[in-house]
Amino acid sequence: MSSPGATGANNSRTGRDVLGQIVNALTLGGIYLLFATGLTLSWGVLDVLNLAHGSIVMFGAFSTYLLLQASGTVLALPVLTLFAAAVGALLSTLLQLLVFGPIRRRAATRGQAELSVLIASIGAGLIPVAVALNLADAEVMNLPRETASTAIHQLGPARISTLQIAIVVLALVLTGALAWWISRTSSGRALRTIAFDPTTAEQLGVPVGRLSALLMAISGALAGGSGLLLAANANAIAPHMGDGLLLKAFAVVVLGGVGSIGGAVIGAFVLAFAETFAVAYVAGELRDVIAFALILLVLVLRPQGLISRVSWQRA
Amino acid sequence: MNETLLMTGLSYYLIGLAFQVVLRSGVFSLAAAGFWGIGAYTCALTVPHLAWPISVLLAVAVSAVLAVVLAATLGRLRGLYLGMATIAFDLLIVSLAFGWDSLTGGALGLYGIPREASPLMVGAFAAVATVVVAMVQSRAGGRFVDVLRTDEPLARSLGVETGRLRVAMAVLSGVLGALAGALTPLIFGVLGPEESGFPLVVLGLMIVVIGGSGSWVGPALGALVVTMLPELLRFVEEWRDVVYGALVVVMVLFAPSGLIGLVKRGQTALRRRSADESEVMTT
Repeated sequence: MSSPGATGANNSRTGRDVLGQIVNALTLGGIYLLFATGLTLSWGVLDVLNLAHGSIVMFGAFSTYLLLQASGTVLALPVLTLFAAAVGALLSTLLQLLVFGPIRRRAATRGQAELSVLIASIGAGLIPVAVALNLADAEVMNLPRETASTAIHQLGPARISTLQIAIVVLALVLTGALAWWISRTSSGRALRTIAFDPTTAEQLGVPVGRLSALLMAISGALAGGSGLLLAANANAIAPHMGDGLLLKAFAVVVLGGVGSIGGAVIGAFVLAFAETFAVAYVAGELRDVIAFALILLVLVLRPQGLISRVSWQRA
Repeated sequence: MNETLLMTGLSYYLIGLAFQVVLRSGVFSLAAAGFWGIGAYTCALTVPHLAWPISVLLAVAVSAVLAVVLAATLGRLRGLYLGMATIAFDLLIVSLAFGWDSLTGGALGLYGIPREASPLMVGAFAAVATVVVAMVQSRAGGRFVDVLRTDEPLARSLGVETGRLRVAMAVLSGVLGALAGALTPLIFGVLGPEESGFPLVVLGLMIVVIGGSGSWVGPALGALVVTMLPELLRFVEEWRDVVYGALVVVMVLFAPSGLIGLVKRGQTALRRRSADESEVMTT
């Protein structure tokens, strides 16, 4: 029961049927989750609030667009997603090695390091956006039809596309694997040591620099890949698409508690459902207000997140 | 034309001051960009009906009230949490400016705003702001915010009312941001929703990072550089934002105390060298 060739199933905002909205919310939640996981990990483990994360998402999608333009060939979406993830990982690693790492080594106090990294990440985040604005040939770019097209399945009364299934499954599998890595393996334990106290970790023989770079690479890969998936699902790439996403990711991170992957899963889907249904049944302008309201509510009422932080998180 | 450049520079200086106040006191409140937007829209919407000084004061007063509310709400937050919440606030203001069509004109923005600003008036506001900031950061006040930045428990044990001081700094920053915002539509006659938000946060931080966050002199120097940069960087044209972004990163990495810090370091090095030389000569 599939009809290949059509693009973007269930994207109609006017569609009022509940099942369609649930499918949309699940997809959105998957994208939020992929995007926010990297942010929550780099904050929780490395004390890095990376405001360039949104730019990396955008640039993952945009560099794929450039690749397709330059090569003139049509590549399959899975290949392109890997490419976008690689671009994201590269940018994020460079950021860690050239900027965040040196700043943290030089800073006198932890607060000083946090603030300097925050400022530097804002500056660094400006660069990909400016590059994209200059290289873009339109305000909103589209992926070629052949790449963005996806089969649509009819599951009873609900319609869901292969891409949407892929996004949700990928998000859950990847975050599950990450959570397993951090909680069950020895390098994961080393990461938790860094989160607890980097200086002690260094003295215990934990390769802090290498693990930090690895963590940022993973965070960047998730961001780049999710950027392309988002672009394929909405069939649009815009230079400023990262800014709005950052607000959503903040909400996810805060809802789940900083550094908690399980919390991010809950946060991403809570936010996605709240947004989707508020936009469909109340008013479209609510989209961004909901994210902010959730941030405020949680920060004021339960600063530790909806579920309290797990033990490996910073003391 | 040159008058516009001068007024632009002064409004940059005010934005820089807004960020200097929070950076020096270590309160990670980046809400000044959001209050810039609130101030700008309040002023732009009321100035056709009121005398401009009343519009500006109204914009500042509205923002001050909202800044107190925001600071009280976020009072418990520290560090990155506060930074994140205030950036979320900035982004929310941008999305309200885009979404609230009937009031803000949506994506098209507002135009035909009376261009009442004159260099004298903007300069007068800048002077008042300078005096306020200089007084807050003079001797005792300066020590208070310095100890608040470096060691809050110590500050509390020394009898500094840190909670109240943090709120005061956040509100002062918001008010300065709102003042810069209120003056801007009077300078240019137009106002768009994308003017506040991220680029403005970058601008404000860039001004302070270039100049230095020690006192009002830093933002003044930074604003001068940032106002002149477009002229100097004419050859990079539309790649300007790339240069801006890179500049912020490089300054944070290599000159964390800004140009002022560089000058001071240079002076010390010179003095030491001349001292060394005289020592060599005497022996």
